[in-house]
Amino acid sequence: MAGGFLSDWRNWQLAVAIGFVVIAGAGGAFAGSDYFLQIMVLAAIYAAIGTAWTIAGGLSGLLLLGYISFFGLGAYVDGLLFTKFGVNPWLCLLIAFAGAGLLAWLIALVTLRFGLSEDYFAMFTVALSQVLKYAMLNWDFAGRATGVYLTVVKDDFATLSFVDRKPYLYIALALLVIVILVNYAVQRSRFGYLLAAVRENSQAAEALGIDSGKVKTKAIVLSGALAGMVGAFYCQFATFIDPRQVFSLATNFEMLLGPVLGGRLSIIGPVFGAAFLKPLQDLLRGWLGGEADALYLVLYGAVLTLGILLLPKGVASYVEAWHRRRYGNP
Amino acid sequence: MSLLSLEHVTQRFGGLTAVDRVSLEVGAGEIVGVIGPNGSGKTTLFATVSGFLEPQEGEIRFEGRSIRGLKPSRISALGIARTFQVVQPFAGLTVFDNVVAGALRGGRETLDDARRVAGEVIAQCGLAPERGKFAGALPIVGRKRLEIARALATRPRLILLDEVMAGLRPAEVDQAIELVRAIRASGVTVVVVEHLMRAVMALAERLYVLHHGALIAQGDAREVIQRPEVVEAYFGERATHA
Repeated sequence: MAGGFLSDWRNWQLAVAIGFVVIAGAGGAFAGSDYFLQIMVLAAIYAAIGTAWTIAGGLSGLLLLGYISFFGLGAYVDGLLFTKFGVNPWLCLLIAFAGAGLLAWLIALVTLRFGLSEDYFAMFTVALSQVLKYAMLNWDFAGRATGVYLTVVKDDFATLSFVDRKPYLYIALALLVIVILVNYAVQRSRFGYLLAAVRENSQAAEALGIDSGKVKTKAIVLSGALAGMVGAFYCQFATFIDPRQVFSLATNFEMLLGPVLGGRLSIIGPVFGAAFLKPLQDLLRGWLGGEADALYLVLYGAVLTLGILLLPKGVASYVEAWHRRRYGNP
Repeated sequence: MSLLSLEHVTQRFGGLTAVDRVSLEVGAGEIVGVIGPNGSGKTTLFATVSGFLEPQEGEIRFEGRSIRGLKPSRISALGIARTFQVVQPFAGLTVFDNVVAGALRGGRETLDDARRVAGEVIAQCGLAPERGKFAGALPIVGRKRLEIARALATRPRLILLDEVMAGLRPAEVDQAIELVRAIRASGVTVVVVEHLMRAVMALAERLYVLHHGALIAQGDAREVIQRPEVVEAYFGERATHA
């Protein structure tokens, strides 16, 4: 029965999030301007990135602050393999998934094996994203600062290339649905319990036989791999990537704003967070002007910090409290 | 063969020897008490046995095999569960989910099995009325019981209970004593660290007495607590502090 299904907070979130995606897709079908579609696609990408991030940054409690490495790596995997070797972009999505997962595994290996504490882990991930940026800026094969261009001449689903913007919206929303479903499945699974235990108290989790290092590693690998896949799609959509763009710290923090303010342990938080914040960010960026990148970073840093301090569980925690009252759960 | 044996286990922190060449044996089916004044090394000893600290010297055997240097999660998987003196609930999870997390045994059990076991353990520990509440919202007696329930849910062969009676009211202590007896009756061997003498004497057949990290006495509970060195170390110190 539907009421029974929706009385579970996670089920309710799944239904609301998928419903919202369907409405967004239907709305996009009537969108007249490419500018509007562009924002919708980016919002869907941000929502997918945010939802993927919460697996590590929320559910496992890791301070995965430098998350854009996976997105940028995925974008470059697609850009280089497609333009230089003619690898099919759909296949590139899978290779980017695997490649970003591998990067995440290496990060986990280095940081968890050598016991980096939380704050150092956060700084390490931020630093690594900038190391990757400078590596790309100096790599001839990857086009250095000018990056990689894709030339799209006709609509072709088989190579994930379209002149029309609408197909990108549908594919972005489909990717978002995949990430939402993965997140939902993780939360409901045995692995979700292990994540929750490690997040709440890793010492107590260890005492119960839970290998917290292994659990965190799995979380960051899955989280990173999904971001890599989305990054590869972004490259197809943008048709142009460069290191300053796909490894941008400002973008990194923009992407985390949705899940942090929306609710790191929720599904609706990152989805609605991106849907609301991404257009707002574009407005702000226009208002502050292109020269104001530093100011922009300061502003985001401040909002992110305040959000974490004032709303540790995000806006979604208020919705959850409402849901509990509505369905009479204790 | 004893279930748990320690040989000359030593744990130092810089110049401080918190556990000093401690040897002890726990047989299957026993309830053994470890007592001693504050700071005598009881909790450090538990942390060493459960793998949170690795001893500088000595050997720890469980069911005949060495467990020294193994990770806590590995030791738990072998069948040793512990509670924490300062309770460590998963505050953001419900009581039921806390116990399910234990019953998963690190992911070796299916979720269905873990949920079934969690339900049983919660009933056994008298937490059924609290099962839907968040662990962070429990009063101290509930938190202490939750510590025991979560540890029991891993289905251990040996459980180390660290001060599970501290802070309880007399009637609650009586219930906790009954619970520990029931745990032993279900086939789990018990080691209790406890300050509350009434509870220790009600439970333990044998006692080990620690003082400044070293064992100063061991043997039959009723006999041991009357020895002059124990009275002086344990009760003497308490009397001067009182």
